[in-house]
Amino acid sequence: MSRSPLFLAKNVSKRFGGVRALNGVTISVERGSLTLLMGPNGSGKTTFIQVASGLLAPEEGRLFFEGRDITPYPPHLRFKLGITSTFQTPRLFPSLSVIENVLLAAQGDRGFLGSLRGDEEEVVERAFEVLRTLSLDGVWDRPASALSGGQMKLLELARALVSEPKLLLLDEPLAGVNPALAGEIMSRLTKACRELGVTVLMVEHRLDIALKHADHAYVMHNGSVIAQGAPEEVVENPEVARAYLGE
Amino acid sequence: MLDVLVGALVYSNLLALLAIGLSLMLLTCRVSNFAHGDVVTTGLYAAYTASVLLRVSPYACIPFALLAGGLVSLLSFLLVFDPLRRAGGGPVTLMVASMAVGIIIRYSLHAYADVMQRTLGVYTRQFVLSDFELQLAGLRVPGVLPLSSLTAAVLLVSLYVLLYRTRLGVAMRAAIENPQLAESLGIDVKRVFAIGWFLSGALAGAAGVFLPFRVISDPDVGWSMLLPAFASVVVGGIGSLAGSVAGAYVVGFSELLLSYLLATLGVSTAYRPLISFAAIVATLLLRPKGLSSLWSR
Amino acid sequence: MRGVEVLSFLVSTAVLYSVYLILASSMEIEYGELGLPSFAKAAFFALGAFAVGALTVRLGALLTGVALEGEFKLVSYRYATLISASVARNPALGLALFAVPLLVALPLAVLMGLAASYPALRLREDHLAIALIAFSESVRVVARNYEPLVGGTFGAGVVDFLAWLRSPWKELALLAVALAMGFGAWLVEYRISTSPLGRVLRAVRDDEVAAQAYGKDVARLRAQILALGSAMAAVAGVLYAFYAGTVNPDDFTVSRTFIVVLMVVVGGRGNPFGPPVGAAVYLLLDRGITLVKHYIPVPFDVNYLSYILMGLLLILLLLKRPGGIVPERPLLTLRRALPQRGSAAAPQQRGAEGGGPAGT
Ligand SMILES: Nc1ncnc2c1ncn2[C@@H]1O[C@H](COP(=O)(O)OP(=O)(O)OP(=O)(O)O)[C@@H](O)[C@H]1O
Ligand SMILES: [Mg+2]
Repeated sequence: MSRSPLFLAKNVSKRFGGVRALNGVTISVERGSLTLLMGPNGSGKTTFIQVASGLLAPEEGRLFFEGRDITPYPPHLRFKLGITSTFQTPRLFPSLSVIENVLLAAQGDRGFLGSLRGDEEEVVERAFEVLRTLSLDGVWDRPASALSGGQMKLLELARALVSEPKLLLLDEPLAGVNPALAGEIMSRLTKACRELGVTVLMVEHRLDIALKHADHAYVMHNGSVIAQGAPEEVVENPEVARAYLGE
Repeated sequence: MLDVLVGALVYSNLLALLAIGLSLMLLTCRVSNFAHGDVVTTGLYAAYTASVLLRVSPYACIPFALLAGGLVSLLSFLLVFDPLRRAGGGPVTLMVASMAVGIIIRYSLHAYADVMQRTLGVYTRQFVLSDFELQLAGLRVPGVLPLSSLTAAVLLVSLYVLLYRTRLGVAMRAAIENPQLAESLGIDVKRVFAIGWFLSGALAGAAGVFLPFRVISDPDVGWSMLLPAFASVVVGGIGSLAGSVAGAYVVGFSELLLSYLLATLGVSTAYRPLISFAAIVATLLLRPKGLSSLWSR
Repeated sequence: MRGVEVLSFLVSTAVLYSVYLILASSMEIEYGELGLPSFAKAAFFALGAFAVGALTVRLGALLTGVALEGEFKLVSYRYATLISASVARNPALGLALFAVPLLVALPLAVLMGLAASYPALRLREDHLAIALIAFSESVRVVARNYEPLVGGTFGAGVVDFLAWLRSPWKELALLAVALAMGFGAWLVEYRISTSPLGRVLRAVRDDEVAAQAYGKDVARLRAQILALGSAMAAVAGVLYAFYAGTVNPDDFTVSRTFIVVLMVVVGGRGNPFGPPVGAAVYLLLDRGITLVKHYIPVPFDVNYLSYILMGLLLILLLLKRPGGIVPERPLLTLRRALPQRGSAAAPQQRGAEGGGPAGT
C-alpha cells in the first residue's frame, strides 16, 4: 500500500438486538473512485452507510477518513470534514420548499449568529444549478412534501451533491427512479463527481446502470463482506451468485 | 403514623384508578391526557350533587361518578382526540388539546359550582365531607380506607378481567398493538377505543368520590392529582398497565412516608408534591422503562 | 376622570400584550420553529418576576440606607411603598432597581435554559413536555413555601421604578418600555424565523436525524435556543412584575404556560406573525369579556367563560385549521435572497437581478 485510502472502515461490527447487521466489515474507498457496495436485502448495506456517516455507532471497529480516526465523531462533524450521506428512503424536510431543502445542505453548521445573516446569494446560485442538473428547477418553490416519489429521490440526491463533499455515501440513489432517467442521472452524477473530485461509495441494486461506472465493488451478505474486486469480476464470482440466490 | 399509612393507602388507591386510565389513553391515542384530573373532579361533583339531591351518602353515589366521568371522557375522545389522532396530530399537539379539554371541564365545573351553591344551598368550594369511622382489628379507621380500597380492587380486577379474559379485551389489545391490522381483521377500532376511554374516565370519576373525605375540595382539586398520577405512570413504566398500578402505590407511599420523615426533620410537608415531580424527571432520565423493566426486557 | 381610567385600561392592556408577545415569541422559536415543547415556560417567566420580587425591596433598602425589620413576607409591601417614595425623588434609583433584577435574571435564565437542554436531548418530545411541566411546578411549589424568596403565598411587594414621573407620563413611560421590550422580542423572533437560522430550526423540527446528517449540530442548537427562549421569558417576567406591582408564586402555574402555547398554536406555529396574532386574540377574548361582563346575565362568575371559550377556540382551530390563523409558509427564508418570485422563471430572473444581499 503506497498511499492510504480516502476512507477506511476496519473490522466494523454492529448489532441490533440479536441481529448481527455488520460482522467485522472492512471496506476501503480509494480517493477519486466510485466504489459500489452490493448485496441482497438485509445484508447490512444501509447499516454500513449509517455507521460511516455517524448516525449509528459501531460496537467494534474503527473508521478512518483521510488517515484520521473519525470513530468518535458525531454526524455533523463528519459532514464538516467532507462526508455526506443520503438516505435509502428520502428523509426530506417536508415543510420546507425544495430550494430550502437544498440550501440547508449546501452549508454546514454556520453557527447561531452566522446563520442569522441572510447573505446567501452565491449559495442560492449553486443550489439552483444543482436543481437544474437534476431537472428539479421547475418545482423549486414547492414544499418538499408535495413532490412525487421519484422527485423526492432526486431531491435527496440534490442535497447530497450541493454539499460538494469529498466522500459521498449514496444509499440506493436510483431505486424507484424510472429507467431512462436513472441512466441519465448516473451519467450526470459520475460526471459531476469527476469534475468536482468527489469520491463515491454507492449502494445500488441496479447493476445494469451502476456497474459500468464503478471502479471497485464490494459484496456483502449477512453482515459480512463476501467478495470484492473489479466490478466485472465480482459479479462473476460464484459465491456472490449463491448469496443472491439465497442460500 | 397510622394516619400516615391510612392516608398513603387511600391516596395510592386513587392514584391507581387515575394512572391506569392515563396509561390506557396513552396506549390507544398516544395522548398524555392533561384533562384526566378534571375528569376526577367531574366524578366528585356528580356524586356530591346526587348525594345532596337523594339525601344519601356520597359513597352510595359512586355509580353517578362512574357514569359522569366515563361520559366526559368518552365525549372528549369522540369529539377531540379521535379526530385529531386520525388527522395525524403528534403527541405534543394531542397533549396541548388535552390541556384545552381540561380547561374547558375545569372552568365548566367552576361555573357549575357557583350554580350548585346557589340552587342547592350547599358549600361547593373549600369543602370537606365528614366520614364515618370503623373499628378494624382494634384500630379506628376512617370509612374511606376500606371503601376506596374495595372500589379500587373491584374496578381494577374488573378491568383486568375485561382486558385479558373477554373477546372485547382481546380486540382492544389487538387494536392497541396494531390498529391497521386490527381494522383489517374486522375489529371496529374506534368503538373499542371509545370503550377504553369510557372505562378510563369512569375509573377516574370513581376516584373523585373519595377526595372530599381526605382533602379540601374545589373544582381544581382533581387537577392537583394529575402530576402525581403521571408520576405513577412514569415510575411504573410508560405503556405498562400493571406498571402504572404498581407505580401508583410506590408514588403514593413514597410521597406520604417521605414527607412524614422529612417533617420529623423539620421540613414542611408543603414540599410533598416535589417528591412525585422529582420522580417523573428522575425516572424519565435514568430509567425510562420504570418498574416495568423489572418484569419485561 | 374617565380619561384617566381609559388611559390606564389601555396602558395595562398594552403592557400585558407586550408581556405575552415576549412569551409567545419565545415559545414560537422553541416550539413553533424548533419543535421543542418548552413547557417550563411559566418557571422561566417566574424567574424574572422572582428576581424583581426578591431584589427591588432589598436592594432599594440597601441603597437608601433603610434597615429591613421584620419577616420579609410581612413587611415587603410596606417597604416597597417606602422605597417608592425615595424613587420619586431619585430617578437614578428607579432605573437601578429596574436594571439590576434584569441583569440578575438574564444569566440565571440562560443557565437554566442550558440545563433544560440536557433532558431535551434524551427524551421523546411528549415525555420532555411532562418532565418540564413537573420541573415548572416544582419551582412554583418551592417558591410558595420558601418564604424568604418572594414571601411565599403572601407574595412580595415591588418598588415602583417609575415613581419619579407624574400621572399620564408615568403610564406612558411604562407603555413605552413595555412596547419596546415586546416588539424587540418579536423582532428577534421575526429575524430568526426569516433567516437561514429559521430554516435550520424548522429542518430539525421536521427531521432531526436528517438535519444531523446534513451537518447541523442539533445539540448545540437546542441549547442555544432554550437559553435564548428562557432569557426572553425572564425579561417578560421582569416586565410583568413591575407592571403588577407585586409578585406571587401562584401566578406561575401550568395554566400560564398553556396560555402561551395556546397563543402560538392559535396564531400559527412556524409563522413569525403567529405570536402577535395569537397574543392579540387571547387578549381580545380575555379583556373583551372583562369589559362586557356586567352585561352577560349568567348565574356564575363570567371570567370562567373566557377560559372555556379559549379552550373551545383552541380545539376548534386544531380540528379545522391546524396551521392556526396565519399558517406557516415555505420560502420564508428566501425573501432576501429572492426578491422576485414566480415559479420556473425565478432562477433566470435572479440571474438578471444579480443584486447584492438586501437587508442586514
Ligand atoms: N434499526 C434497526 N433495528 C433493528 N434491526 C435493524 C435495524 N436496521 C436494520 N436492521 C436489521 O439489520 C439487518 C441489515 O439491515 P440493512 O438495512 O442494513 O440491510 P440492507 O442491506 O440495507 O438491505 P436493503 O437492501 O433491503 O436495503 C437486517 O436484518 C435488518 O432487519
Ligand atoms: Mg438498505
